[in-house]
Amino acid sequence: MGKREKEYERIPGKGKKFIGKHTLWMGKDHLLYVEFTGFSETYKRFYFKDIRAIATHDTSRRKTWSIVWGSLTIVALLLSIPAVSGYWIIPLWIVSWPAPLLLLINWLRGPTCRCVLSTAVTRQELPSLHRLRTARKALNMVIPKIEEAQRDIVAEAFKPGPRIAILPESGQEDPARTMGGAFFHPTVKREAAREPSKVYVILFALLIVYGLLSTIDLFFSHAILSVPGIILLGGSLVSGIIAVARQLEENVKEAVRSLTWIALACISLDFIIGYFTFMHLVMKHPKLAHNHWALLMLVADASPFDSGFSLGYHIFSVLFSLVLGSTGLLLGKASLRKAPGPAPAGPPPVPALPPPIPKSVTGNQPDPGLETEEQGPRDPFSRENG
Amino acid sequence: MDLNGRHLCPLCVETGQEKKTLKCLDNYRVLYDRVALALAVAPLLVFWLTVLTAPMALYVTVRYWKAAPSILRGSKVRFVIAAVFSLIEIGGWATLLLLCL
Repeated sequence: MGKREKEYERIPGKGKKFIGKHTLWMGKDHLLYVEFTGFSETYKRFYFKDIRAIATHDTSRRKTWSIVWGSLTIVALLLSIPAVSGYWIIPLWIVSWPAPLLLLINWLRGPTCRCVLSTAVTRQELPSLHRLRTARKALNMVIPKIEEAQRDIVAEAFKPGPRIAILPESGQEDPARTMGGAFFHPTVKREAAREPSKVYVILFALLIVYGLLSTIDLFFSHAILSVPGIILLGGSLVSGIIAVARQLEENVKEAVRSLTWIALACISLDFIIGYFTFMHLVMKHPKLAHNHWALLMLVADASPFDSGFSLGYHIFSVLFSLVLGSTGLLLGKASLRKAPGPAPAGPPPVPALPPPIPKSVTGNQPDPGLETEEQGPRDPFSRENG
Repeated sequence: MDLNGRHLCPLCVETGQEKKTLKCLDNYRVLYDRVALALAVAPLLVFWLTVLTAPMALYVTVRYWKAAPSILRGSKVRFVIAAVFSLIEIGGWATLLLLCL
């Protein structure tokens, strides 16, 4: 018995989400988009004859992650200075040691992009094609299949009337970007539902203030700094949640989105560590367990230099709040200033003039039976046509 | 009607979709082989949990052995590994119980 023929061929690229991953597979007559969530799979099929466009546009995700890994690399370099020692550096080392390698990998993998597949009835983002190089490899595999499936549709489409066009980005012929007859728009503006609100600016501003307060608290421990710090952190958490919830409806830069998520994760971590520190104190001073104010004073008056863990935690708070806050504030403000106007509803408009039928579609000279704009309709009774 | 190169009646299409015999109409599948493997292997981190999860893994393996697998890969390797692990765990617990008695 021979091997069973593979029904699907894997297309390069893997999109990872919080839970699960996304992959793209090529069948005989359709693309299969698979969303894997650990214990189940969801399938979406896009038949080649139905695909109208595959659009990619650059994103700034690579830049954002470079900033994050770059900052942690600086931390790792600082920690490697011989003068810096103590148990407090251990948690920071754990967080920052893979950063240089991740920074290098992020840079080597090339620019990031967002890829959207359009049919007549739906638009589907393809998260597995989030790197431009991977997207180009995938398009090189898929385009010939689409071309073959739409060959008959293309011939029909080249009758007079605005219907199709090929839009190369720079004028250079790029086989990955052109397709016999189908419409490829090299850049697609994201549909702007709403302009970005000021919640991002508020979130990052609060983080910066919290970072400055934590820096002062590092050297002058007092309740007058700790209590506002807790309030500021709480405010940041609330702003972060609101910002993340509003991201779905607002047209926000990719970098700001990512930074919002990272900020929310760091704030949550800060809260969790703070909670465990508080519980540790409660266990150390069981008599004060019912007097939360006294416990809070105890936390506030304790010097971060008393224990290595406390010092590491304080430094982590200062670093993430200042770095994320300042980066996010700059990007967030720029995002507000440059917010685009409302985008047109629906797909981009089709240009008016179709180009001549390319040889790759018909394989021959244009069919003399088809009308073209230059020729005009043929008169069957004219002497030229015999 | 013509579907994926086959000529089927509407009733056959509906039955095929319900029984998951027509792959081209399937939009969602639960991967029971992964469930069984996770139940058999993951609780090893907290060993005492396997007293509950090993029989569960074996049940899932037997109950869903014939369930439609992933469209992409239809092998039963995970089921086999899950069954082996769960049998070893059950055997281990049975031995421990006998030794204690």
